[in-house]
Order: sequence, then structure tokens, then C-alpha cells
Amino acid sequence: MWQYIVRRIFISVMILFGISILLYILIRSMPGDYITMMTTGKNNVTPAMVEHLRHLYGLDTNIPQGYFNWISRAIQGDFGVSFFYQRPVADIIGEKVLVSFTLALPVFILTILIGVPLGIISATRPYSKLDYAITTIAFVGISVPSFFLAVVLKRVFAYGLKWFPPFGMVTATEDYTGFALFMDKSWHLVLPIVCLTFIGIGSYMRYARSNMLEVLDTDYIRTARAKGLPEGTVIYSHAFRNTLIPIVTIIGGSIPGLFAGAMITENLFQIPGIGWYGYQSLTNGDIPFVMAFNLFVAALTLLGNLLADISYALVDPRIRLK
Amino acid sequence: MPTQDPKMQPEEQTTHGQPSVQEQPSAPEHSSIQTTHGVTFGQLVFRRFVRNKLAIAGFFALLIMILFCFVGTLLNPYREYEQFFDPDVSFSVQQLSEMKDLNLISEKIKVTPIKMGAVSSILGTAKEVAGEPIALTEVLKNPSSTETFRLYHTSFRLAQKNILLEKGFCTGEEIKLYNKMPITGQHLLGTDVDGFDVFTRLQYGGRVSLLVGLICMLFAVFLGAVLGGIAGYYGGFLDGAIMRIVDVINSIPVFPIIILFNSFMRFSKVGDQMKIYYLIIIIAALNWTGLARLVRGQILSLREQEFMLATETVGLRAGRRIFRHLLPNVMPQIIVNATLLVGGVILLESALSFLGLGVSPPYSTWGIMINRVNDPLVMIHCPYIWLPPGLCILLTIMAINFVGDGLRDAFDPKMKR
Repeated sequence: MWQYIVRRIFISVMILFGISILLYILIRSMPGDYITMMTTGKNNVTPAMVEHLRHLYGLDTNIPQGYFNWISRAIQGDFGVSFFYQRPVADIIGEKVLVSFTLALPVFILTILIGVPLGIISATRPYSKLDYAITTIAFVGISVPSFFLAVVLKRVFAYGLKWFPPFGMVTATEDYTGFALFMDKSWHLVLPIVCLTFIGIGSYMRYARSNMLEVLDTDYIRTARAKGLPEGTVIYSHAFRNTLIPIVTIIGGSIPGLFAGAMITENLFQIPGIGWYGYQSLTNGDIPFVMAFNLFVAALTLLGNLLADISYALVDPRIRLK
Repeated sequence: MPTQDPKMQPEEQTTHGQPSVQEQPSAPEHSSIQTTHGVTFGQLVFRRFVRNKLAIAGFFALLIMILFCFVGTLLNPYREYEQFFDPDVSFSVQQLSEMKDLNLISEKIKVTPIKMGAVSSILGTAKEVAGEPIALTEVLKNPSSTETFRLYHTSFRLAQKNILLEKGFCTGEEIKLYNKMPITGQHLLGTDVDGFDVFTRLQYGGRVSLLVGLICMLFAVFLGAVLGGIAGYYGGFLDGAIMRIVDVINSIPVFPIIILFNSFMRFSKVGDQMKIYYLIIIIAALNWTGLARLVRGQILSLREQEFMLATETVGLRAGRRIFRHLLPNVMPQIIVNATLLVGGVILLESALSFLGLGVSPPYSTWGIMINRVNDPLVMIHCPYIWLPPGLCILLTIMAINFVGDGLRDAFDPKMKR
């Protein structure tokens, strides 16, 4: 087991190296770097000043040299200073990840609490009207584009009914502290949470349903029914536990994703999380931020896969990791 | 790979058809086939698929959507880039009849007579008052009338505007862009901020969205099946190399890559049409990995089966073994995944277009049409501009998912229904 984990981590680090090289080449060969964007349209900037700026920002090197400079510092944990925000990238990411996390955690909990029971209910009455209704709702969630749902929610509940604020994280005109601040933030986060939850429940629901159907088809469930157990006991104590195995696996695998931010939703609701900052940095050509942000997200993805596999082995003793 | 799904057992085409058939309640029209000869795998899948209500609903919804986008554009009198103008100018009877002769206006339209109202006591000028709309044919019966008329409830296309200007009917200042007009008989879903007919753009946009989804899927399936097949069949170094590429692509965030490519294209002044092709290639290059994993896993397990040993014993060539014996066994998974992939790609493309990173205007796609909500006025007051494309995306992707899910169930030998 440990050997397996160590090997997987080693492979993940190699993959991260690969991604960093690919990203660096891409972003450095991008036409119009940060300095060009900063200086175009300003008449009093001389070519010498541009050269000096390039040197200051470390953009006067060629690509292999630049990558080597970057990676040798990154290995020591120094991801450089963001061009745009003029602050250490690691600090910004640490700060913004928390914002994204406060949005992602309630979504995560709600998704599981709503999605899994719905899937189980629809599996216990397969092909009934209720099942079709739940399945259709789940498919709407899976199929709706997040940006469209966000726009509809904003139009209906923020601009139309005026129940919730359309964007932002806090009321800018008020200076709340303590509990009032918490309430204000929750108030602002309702719509994004509803949006992301609705999109998320579909996959949990489908997953729970198909697993439950499979479990209900097994011999030991037939045995349980044959020995006269009430249907509730059969479903909720015999079948449900085994349904949990694969669900725990995907839950384990999606925990790292809680820190990755939701780019489109954060953008539309103007929530200053990691997703929004990542998007801004990409459009700005802010190389240190782009590199650190993308490697961070990639590392989370790899960690998620690893956790999924490990939790699979932990909850199901039949699985041996090799 | 511990993540290998234990459910994924190979389909055994010839054997599993029989027992499932016996469980089916016999439909009278098929009874002769069922009892005596058995059914082919294809027939079995088809029957199971047809019995799935949601899948059938999805199939027909998809069919309607395809007809709407591809055949609908042929029936629609308006073209994709036609902008509509609102003539505010008044015409004499003489001009109206000339315009009718030039085919600028149809004789079926209505016009409103303009009368001078009472002189305003404050401004000292007379105010124009529009009367009740009357049919053009009525007006033309009386050519000597000195009244002036305004065109009622109609709109000019760009071409007509130019003719009007050339022929000196008006100065052009009186003709305004038919901007954000609500739903009327001429414009079933109104017009957008550029004076484009929303209904028409919806059809053309859907054409681009569906084609992008379909072509991306073909590319991705080809790449995924070939590379996954090679990795699974030959194993060893090739397998390792391909699977590491898969790992890298899987963990790279999609949006950053597309944003970077987008700025490449912007700076190197790639034409709008070429941009679509590049976009298709990039999306396909990012989406083949799931299928490659699946095909590889399948082939790895199939390779160990007795029937593959048999093909080896008989001395079949590698090509024949792959294409005649391995591939047909992976086909169900490939078909299901390809279907679902089309939906995924359309979703991705619409998100990219929405962010202004995908296909760029003047081409229309559903994502671009929703992008209009960036103008708060459009978002709040003109839902007819952005709601229809959103619903189209939702409907299309839902239909595709229903079909894909139905196919998955139909192919699954363990499904009893």
C-alpha cells in the first residue's frame, strides 16, 4: 500500500513537471507579453525602458533559460511575485483558496445530502413516475451550462424578485463585523451555491442510483428478502452500506477539487475566489500567477485521483493496490 | 489500475443475446423471430433502446433540433447576417407604389397615415399623429392623395436600406437599426442588439454548435480508439508513453490552455472561419483521453480471454485480430462514450463562446448569443435574446445524454429490462 502511494506520488510529480514545461512554453511563446500589454498606447515609453522592464520582470531570457530560472525557484517553494498584483503569488493563492473553499464546501455537502438520497429513492422504485421525475431533474442538472443557470438565477432571484444580491461577496456600502458579516456573506453566496449544487447533484444521483440498482440485484439481498426482513431494513441497512463503497470513492476523489475554485461561476457572480483570479491572470498574461495557479489545480486533480484510488482500497477490502 | 471499473466485463455477443430474449415479455409482432431463430445483438440493443422512454424522447428531441438547425435554415427567408432596420421615415403614395414595384415592400403590409395634430400651445409646433394602420392596397387605390404614410410594423433589411438610399427615398438618418425589438410576427423571437433576427441566429448558431460537437467527437473518438487500442494491445513502452500523455492532458486545466491558444490566434490574426477549425482540433486534443483509457482497459482484459488465444492459434494477422475480433467487442463502449462526448463538447464550446474564447462573432453560436447578457439591460429587459439559445443548449445536451444513457443500458448485458 505505502509503496503504491509513494510510487503514485512520484509519477504525479513527474506529470506536474511535464505540465509545467508545457505551460511555460505556451505562455512564454504567447504573442504580446505582459510588458507589451502594459506599455502599448503609452507614448512616453522608450524602447530602452521596455527592455529594462523586461529585465526586471525576468522576460529577457529565452524560454529554456527562463523555465530553468522559474523551476529552480519553484522547487524551493518560491513561485515569484505576481506581475499584476505585485504580491507573492503563494500569498494570493493561499488567500483566494479560502474564499473558493467557503463557496465549495456548502456546495459539496449539499450535493451529497441531496444527490445520494435522491438516487437511492429512485433506485428503490425503478421506472416509476417518481424515478422518471428524479432522473429528469438529474439530467437537467448535468446538461445545463453553468453560465446559463447562473444567468437565469441572477435574472429571476436577484433582478426580478430582488431576494438575493446579484453579485459580490459582501455588501460594499456596509461595514459589517462578526455575525453580521457572516450573515451578509451567506446572503451573497446563496445564488452561487444553488447554481453549483444543482449542477452537481445529477452525477451523485445517477451514480447512487445505478450502484443501488446493482446491489439490489445481488444474491444476498434476495436472501435478506427471503428470510422475511422488512423492505426498509433490506434497503437501508443491507443494500445501502454496499452502495456507499463507490460513493465514498468519488467523495474522496473530489475533496481536493474543493480548493480549485469554479472559474465561470465565480466570474459571473464576481466572487473573488481562486477561479476568478486565475481567469484574470490568464487574460493579463501574469506568468508567475498562471504557472502557480495551473500547477496548483493540476496537483489537486492528481491528488484527487490518488485519494479516489486509496479510498477505494480502504473501504473495499477486496481491492488490493499494487 | 485499481480504478478499473469491475463492472466492465466484455460483451459476449453471441451468447448473451439468448437468455435475455427469453426474459422479455413477447411483443406480438416480434414473436416469430424471438422463439425460433433468436435475435442478433443489434436487434436486441435496438429493442431495449426503444423500450426506454427517456431515450426515445431524447432521440426525437435531438432529431427535431437537427431538423430545426439544418433544414430550418433552408426554409427561413432571413439569412444569418441580415441586419434589420426600422424605417421611421414617411412616404408619399407615389413613393409607396414605386417601392412596391421595386419589391422593397410587399403589397400585403400595412401602413399608417401621418396627420398633423393640434398645434402645441407650449412649443408652437404641430405634432405628428399616427392614424390607424390600413392595408397598402387600400392606399394605392387613391394615387392622388397627398397624405404621407409610415410603414407599420415592418423592418428593412440591409440590402433594402441601400436601395432606399440610392433611389433617394430618404436620407438614411431616419432609418434606425432594428435593435432589441421584442417579439413580433416578422421576428418570432425579436431582434438582438445588432439588429439580427434572434430566431434565425438560433438556427445558424445551432448549426455551428452541433457541427463543432460532432466533428470534435469524430476526431476524439478516432484518436482515443487508436491510441487506446495501441496502448492496450501492444503494452510495454508504448503503453507507458501513451498513458503518461493521457495523465498530463487529464490533469491540465482546460480553460487556461484554451485561453492561451486563443490569444495566439488573436495575435496571429487567424480568420474567424479558421478559428473554428483550430478550436475543433484543440477541443478534440483535450477530449480523447477518457475514451483512450476506456478502450485500453477493455482491450487489456479482452486480450487475456480465450477467444483471443483462439485467434492467435488459428494464425490470424494482427490487423484482422484487432479489427475483426477486438474492436467489435469494444464498440458498445465507444458508441456510448462518443454520444456523451458530443454533449460534453457542445457544453464546453458554449462555455468558451460565452466567455468570448470560442467561435467569434459575426459567426453565431448558442454560447455567443447568451454572451449578450454581459449587457445588464439585455439581461434584465430582453430575455427573448438570451433565453432561447440557453434552452436550446439545455435541450440538446439533455437529449444527447438521454440517448447516450439509453444506449448504455441497451448495450449492458446485465440490464434486465
